[in-house]
Amino acid sequence: MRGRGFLFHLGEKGINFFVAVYEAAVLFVETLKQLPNLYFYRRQVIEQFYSLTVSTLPVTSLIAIFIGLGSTVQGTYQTSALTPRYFTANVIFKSTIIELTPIVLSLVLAGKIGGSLAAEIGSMKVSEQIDALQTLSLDPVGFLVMPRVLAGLFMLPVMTIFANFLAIFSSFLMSTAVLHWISPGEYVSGMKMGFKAFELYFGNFIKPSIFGFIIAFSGSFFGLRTRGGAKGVGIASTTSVVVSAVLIVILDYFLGELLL
Amino acid sequence: MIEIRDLWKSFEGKEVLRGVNLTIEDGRTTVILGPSGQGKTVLLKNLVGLLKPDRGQILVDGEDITRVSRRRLFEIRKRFSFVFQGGALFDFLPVKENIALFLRMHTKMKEDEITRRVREALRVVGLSGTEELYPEELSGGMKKRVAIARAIVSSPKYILYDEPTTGLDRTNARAVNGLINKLKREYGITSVVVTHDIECMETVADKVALLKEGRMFFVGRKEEVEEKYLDYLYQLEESYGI
Repeated sequence: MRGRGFLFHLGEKGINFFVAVYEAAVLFVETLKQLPNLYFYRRQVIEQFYSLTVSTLPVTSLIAIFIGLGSTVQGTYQTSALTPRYFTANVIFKSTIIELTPIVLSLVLAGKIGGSLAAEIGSMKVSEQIDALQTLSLDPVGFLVMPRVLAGLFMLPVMTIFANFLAIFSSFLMSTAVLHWISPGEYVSGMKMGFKAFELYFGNFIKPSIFGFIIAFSGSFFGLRTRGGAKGVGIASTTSVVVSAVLIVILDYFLGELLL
Repeated sequence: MIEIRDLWKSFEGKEVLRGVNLTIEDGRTTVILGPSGQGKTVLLKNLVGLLKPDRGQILVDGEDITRVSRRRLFEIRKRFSFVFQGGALFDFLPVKENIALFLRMHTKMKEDEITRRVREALRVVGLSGTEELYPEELSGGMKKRVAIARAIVSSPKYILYDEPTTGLDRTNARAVNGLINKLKREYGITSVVVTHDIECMETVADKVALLKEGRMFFVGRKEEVEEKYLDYLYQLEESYGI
């Protein structure tokens, strides 16, 4: 009986997973269908663009500065006396803009934005505010989901560019003015070495756009699926953070493998 | 006029509405009375398309909303306002923006006109001066009245009330009942009130429908209910510990 119970449980989990995937696909299509209503929901879109940048600015700045400092300390520690200094600067520069900043920032914002998105929409769901939107002839997907997804898609790259700039600047200052292990000229020539414009584009636009979409979509999706009261809101919030963090890490590997 | 014809609705195999028939006449207040769990709110949500019935028809001014497109349904909904049991005010917006949302999204009114309409709606519900407050700063009774202000600002033809007096003290409940009557008297609004509150029914009803186990077992004047179904009313009161 125990084995049968286990199989039943496994089957139920499997069905729930595929139902969730189907529902996510439906929400994705509904979000796309709302794009022609962009002008109608322009106020909500602008609010979300503003909210995603302004509310995350302090944490983004803090993370970016310490990514730059941390990568510099690690870079100098790992390299031997025989390695050219500009080469180490090159490794710090590339690993920061392509990998470290996009993924660390996205993971932190998955917790901050994704979690609060799911909680916000989830609490609206359980307190009938989503129904209230519909009775005001407003589509919840157009009013809530589409603006947040667009904000994730377009504003996470903006925040990543800002974070990359801060990270490299803090690394440059740390290297040249505090540790004095490299001259400013050598650091800049290290940055220029083997420079590919696509790498900048990849780290600042492609990755953050995809990660931003995942964070916003996952938060909205799990928020709209919320059942029950405060406990349901908590579950939606946690699930959203976990799912988006896992997807970000997995996609980070595949994007690097496919595009670099 | 709204006509509900042979409406059925079930959730996960459990039948909640089992062939409901009801006509809601214009300019009158129809009260749907019944104990909890009998499908009152489900019926109300079907009337604005928040839930889709398994079968049956809901004719709103002659148009069956169970068969119209999503776009058309959104158009028809503009004739309705819905006052939710807990108010369902948007907690991220202050009172004035809660009330102004419909006007901002669906009309081209200028800011001055929107502000005037919001103030007027708040005056009608007796809450002038609360424009800048957030829902969390309001008491239960105030939330209900702001929800009514949000409902009337769009000048709807129909207002649907889900348990408008539940959770309110007697003074606030009487204020809400008074408002429902005032809106009918002064603006000619057609109201559908779902409640288990007998005092609410006695105060606002022009017509009463008694719902039990998913069916209407009586539709008529409130005087008839008091004459013929006094036992039912007592049972209802007892079931709520009133």
